Amino acid sequence: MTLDKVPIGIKIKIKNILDTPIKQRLLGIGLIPNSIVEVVNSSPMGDPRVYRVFNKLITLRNSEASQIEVELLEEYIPLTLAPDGEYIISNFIGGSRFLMKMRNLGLSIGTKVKILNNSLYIIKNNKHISLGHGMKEKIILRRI
Amino acid sequence: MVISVALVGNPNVGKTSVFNRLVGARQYVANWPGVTVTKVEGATTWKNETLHIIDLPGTYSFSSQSVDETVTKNFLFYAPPNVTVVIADSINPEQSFYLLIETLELTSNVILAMNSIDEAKKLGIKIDKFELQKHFGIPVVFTSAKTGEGINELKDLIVDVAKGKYNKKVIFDYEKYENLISEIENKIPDDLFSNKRYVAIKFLEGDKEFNDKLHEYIEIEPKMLEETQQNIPTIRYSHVANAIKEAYSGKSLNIQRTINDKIDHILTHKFLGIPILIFIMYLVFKFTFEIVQPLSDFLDGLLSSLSEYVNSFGNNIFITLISDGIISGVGAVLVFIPNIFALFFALGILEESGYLPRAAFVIDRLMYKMKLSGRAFISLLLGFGCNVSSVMSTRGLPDEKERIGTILASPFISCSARLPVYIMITSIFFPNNKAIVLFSIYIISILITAFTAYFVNKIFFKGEDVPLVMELPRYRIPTFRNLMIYMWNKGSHFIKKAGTIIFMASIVIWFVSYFPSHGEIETSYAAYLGKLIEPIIKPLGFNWQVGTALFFGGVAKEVIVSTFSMLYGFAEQDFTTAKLALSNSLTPVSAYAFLIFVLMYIPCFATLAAIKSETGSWKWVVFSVIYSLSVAYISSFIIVSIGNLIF
Ligand SMILES: Nc1nc2c(ncn2[C@@H]2O[C@H](COP(=O)(O)OP(=O)(O)O)[C@@H](O)[C@H]2O)c(=O)[nH]1
Ligand SMILES: [Mg+2]
Repeated sequence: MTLDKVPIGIKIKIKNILDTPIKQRLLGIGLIPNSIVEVVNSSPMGDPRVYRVFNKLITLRNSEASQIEVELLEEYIPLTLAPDGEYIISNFIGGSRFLMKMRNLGLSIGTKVKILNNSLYIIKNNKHISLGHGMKEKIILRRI
Repeated sequence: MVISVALVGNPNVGKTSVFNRLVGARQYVANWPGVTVTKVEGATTWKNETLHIIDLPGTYSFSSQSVDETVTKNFLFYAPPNVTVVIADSINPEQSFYLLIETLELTSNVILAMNSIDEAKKLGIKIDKFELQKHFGIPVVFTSAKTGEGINELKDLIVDVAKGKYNKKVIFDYEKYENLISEIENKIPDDLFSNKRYVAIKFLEGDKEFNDKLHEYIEIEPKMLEETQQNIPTIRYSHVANAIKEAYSGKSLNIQRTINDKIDHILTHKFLGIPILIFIMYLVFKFTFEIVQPLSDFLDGLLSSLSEYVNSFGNNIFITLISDGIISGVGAVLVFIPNIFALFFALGILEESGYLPRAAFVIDRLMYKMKLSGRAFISLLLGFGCNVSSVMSTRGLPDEKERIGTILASPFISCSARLPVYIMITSIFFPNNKAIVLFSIYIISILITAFTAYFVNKIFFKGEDVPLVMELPRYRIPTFRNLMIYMWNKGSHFIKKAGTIIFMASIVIWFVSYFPSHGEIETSYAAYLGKLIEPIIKPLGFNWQVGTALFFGGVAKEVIVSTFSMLYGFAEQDFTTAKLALSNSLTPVSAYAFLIFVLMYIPCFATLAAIKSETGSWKWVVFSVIYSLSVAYISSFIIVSIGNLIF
């Protein structure tokens, strides 16, 4: 996976920087293998986006971020990118209204969930929860 | 003893602020020889020593190809100063320490200044000075450019280091690559480089200069080079992490972060971001062109009284030269000083507060369409003050394609020097729609600038992209001190221009309009020149007076106003007389065409000189002149044709 594909709010680990003319610039600014980067925000038109690299905010165009290979952190997987398996909800990226909505659905931080064929189930009662893509992006999971 | 001191640091760490603290307003701006990066220098005395301080361009590393980084590296490598001060950001030290390690590998006699210590204290961050000194083997000082803390201590340290009081050297270990590094060191000829370890490390990082110079001596597998290129920076960052782990304690940075993120959430918001940008630009304009207007009017009053006073001494040729030539010519320009200083004051606030890079970020997608980056936006924005400053600021752009594109497009940004012409013409012809007409000119200016950037990239660079790797600094409240120095450094350029180019142009214009017929303008040399151009500009509805004014306006656009005032014999800003005189020459439609023509036709002398020095080639100067004249003529012609159909 490359950095431009990572949804906003997610932290990931850098694996490798492909051979691009700006490689040295990226390395110097702190985008080095194994460092953790957070996708902070996007500009009004969706491109470029801002990333947190050590505590600094660095902008990259999506075409530039696509030269950076990343991998998900075990403890920080957005629902949209989680493969089948069992997880614990570790975080929500959203305001109090979003949290309320989730709670009504039976989802809160610490809830154990299961993903099977791209569908989400609460393990406790095997209840199927269907969510839109936008909401899924805001739910962060940790692998059990 | 004169001690040369270089300031090194990432962008936005407060280099310029520390520099201002060290030398006060006694600073001067020049160019690095051969290249096009601004060199800011200043001097101060301390303990009977003269400290000669150079503010180097902000960099993250010495590895990338950008002009700024190359200048900094070459200066430290080939002409090392007595003392190098690395300015670090106490709150976000990672990238600063990385640069520090690179600097320590490059040169000796380094001091680390942990700047913004006031902010770190406020956030409850604790930094152990002695750990830092131990890790990096150099003296460390905590500074705040805001409160002035540590500045005297820094000066003390500079003197001490220059006298050789500290000479410990820490070697940063590159683990499994150490053997390779020494192998390469051994192969570097003695007469080529003396700091061999540095050259060897940079060679392995893929430094272009060293690879070009050394490839005949050193053979290395491309696979290996690819590996070291990535791993050496990674190891260097692990040294950084170690130092921070040992030296930092106390609160985390979350408070600062959330405030910043909240502001960013609004200022770069999906829907609000661009409207806010436009609104802020509107405020800048309002401040620059309306709020300070009474000051301009006051200055104008002073100048007219001066002119009258001089005239009261009689009526001989010298007195006319002084009052009609010099005072009215130079004065026509001087009245705009309040506007220009106000503009730089406003831009200074945007830059100091950290909004400007956000503007670049918000607008990048659009700039990208014209094959530039949001950063070129900042350069172009400066053009609203003066095209010279925007051409010169393109040095910060790491990409050659973007630099040329921005340089050639920027003369179409409507600079403040054109404003006197707009104000005069709009006051006369469009008194009730002044703001709308002015606004339309600025919109057209932006459109033609965008078109030019795109056009240049398409023709000369086959439509290649320009990268945008930029830091968004944390928001800060601008300091008054920095704003004043910023405003003065940028604005005084305009005063200098008034004193030199425009002073001379005023005299020349006075001469050609006074001779050969002693004040009879109709039969003067100036009229002759204008009449020579008249057939060409006739289709645009311009007469010979306009031709003469445009001709002289090529020197500097604001000269157009003084030329008119001399040709028609009215005082500056005496719009009632001017109105009578000018409305015989122009119709409202051709007046509007004239405004557009003034906006677009040839860059002024100073801008052309800047284009020559920035691009290093006459080719771009010639292109710029021919292109802008054609664009101006075609646009004005279209306006006149359509305008005459409608009105
Ligand atoms: N609080 C605080 N702000 C600072 C300090 N030094 C610089 N700043 C602010 O940081 C911003 C960037 O400073 P500047 O000198 O332009 O950074 P440069 O890009 O490194 O030259 C400005 O808004 C300064 O007012 C400091 O020591 N403390
Ligand atoms: Mg600076």
